[in-house]
Amino acid sequence: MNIKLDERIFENFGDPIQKIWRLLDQLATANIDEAIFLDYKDAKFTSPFFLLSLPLIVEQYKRRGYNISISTDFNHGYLSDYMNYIYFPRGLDPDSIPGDFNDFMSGYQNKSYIPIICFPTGSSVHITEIRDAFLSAVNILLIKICGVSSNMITAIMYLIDEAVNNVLHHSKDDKGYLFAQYYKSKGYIDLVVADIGQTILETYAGFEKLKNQVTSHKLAMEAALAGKSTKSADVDRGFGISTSKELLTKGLNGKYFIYSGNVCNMHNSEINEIYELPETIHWQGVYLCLRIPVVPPIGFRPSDYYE
Amino acid sequence: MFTSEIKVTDILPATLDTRESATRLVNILKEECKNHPKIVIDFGGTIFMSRSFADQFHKDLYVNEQPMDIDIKNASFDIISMLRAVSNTQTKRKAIVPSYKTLVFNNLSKLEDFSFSW
Repeated sequence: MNIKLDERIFENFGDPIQKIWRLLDQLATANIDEAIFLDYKDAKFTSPFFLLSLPLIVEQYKRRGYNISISTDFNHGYLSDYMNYIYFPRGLDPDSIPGDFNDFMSGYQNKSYIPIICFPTGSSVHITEIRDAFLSAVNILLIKICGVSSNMITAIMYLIDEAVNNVLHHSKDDKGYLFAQYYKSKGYIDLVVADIGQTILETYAGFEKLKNQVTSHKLAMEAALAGKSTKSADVDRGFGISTSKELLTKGLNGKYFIYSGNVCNMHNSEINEIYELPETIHWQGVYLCLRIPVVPPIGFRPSDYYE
Repeated sequence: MFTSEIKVTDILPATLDTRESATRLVNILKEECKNHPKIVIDFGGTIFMSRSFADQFHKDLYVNEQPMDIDIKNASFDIISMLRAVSNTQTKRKAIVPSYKTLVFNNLSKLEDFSFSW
């Protein structure tokens, strides 16, 4: 089975997401005995929202036993260079970088993007130290690339860290993924944080207090949006999604999309809707896309959204 | 010496991102506390503290433990705001009023009409 991927992904927020759904829909018809090739060699314009999904879809299908691969050579020279810089499709593992992370990441400060980061989710001292140093380097790099004001530094880091911490504590997988690009002329950053571990529903299924109430992907999404924490029987956890959505959509007029199982939530200044998709359009794990404007409205203060 | 001063950037990166790093910092503070009744935590050079870090820092420092005598130095407005926010939400929180609609799709092409407008 050869699937030719779209050469051009448009900047419209929904376009890359539609194309992910179409790909998942096509793959749902694949036979496990046939080889699958995702043909992306003619790619001309792409987007972080679409691009990060590709290696993660490949990995999801490999885990299910499929023989699946994706283009690693590209016909258009500029895109080929870009793909090399972002470490497509494997991503950059912090543990593989010799020397200082900040020195390595400073090689990207004149770019408008960071590499695809595969951050480890383990809890050993060694892994957490590597992860903390690397996340800090990524945060600082993004701020340098975008050249934002101090209140935006806090806002961007808040959004990244809430998303990353959700992966660390809920995915139950060994890696999470982070990728971002700054569009200077448009004035926003597109940021993706994703995993291919547990769905939100599977996370709630492991929590005694809520597992009998949260029995579908839709109910799980609603519970997550309402801040029902799986980490504590009390009230002190579960702020990440709700505060991030408020900060991004109300504070900054940005866009927030979260997808898990066959359910997603799209939240922008005009809509806040949950979509229940056909069951074949399934994301194993959580896929989060944020469009973050870099110039805040006058009077914006991140701390107004901490709750 | 009664007071010990700990500069956070000597121990952790300039951005305080994860719960694990908060636990590391508190463990160091607790060790220090055995020999010094008062600790000054210097946040000079720290440019960001995440909610997760702040929440874990608060829990590890104050929950089920004898409170330490701590002064905070050189912390930015945002860091103080974050520490206050997590302190205020340990036992109570605002209700989140659901404000979303739910739409169900059996067909991908119908869904694309919606996603095009995002």
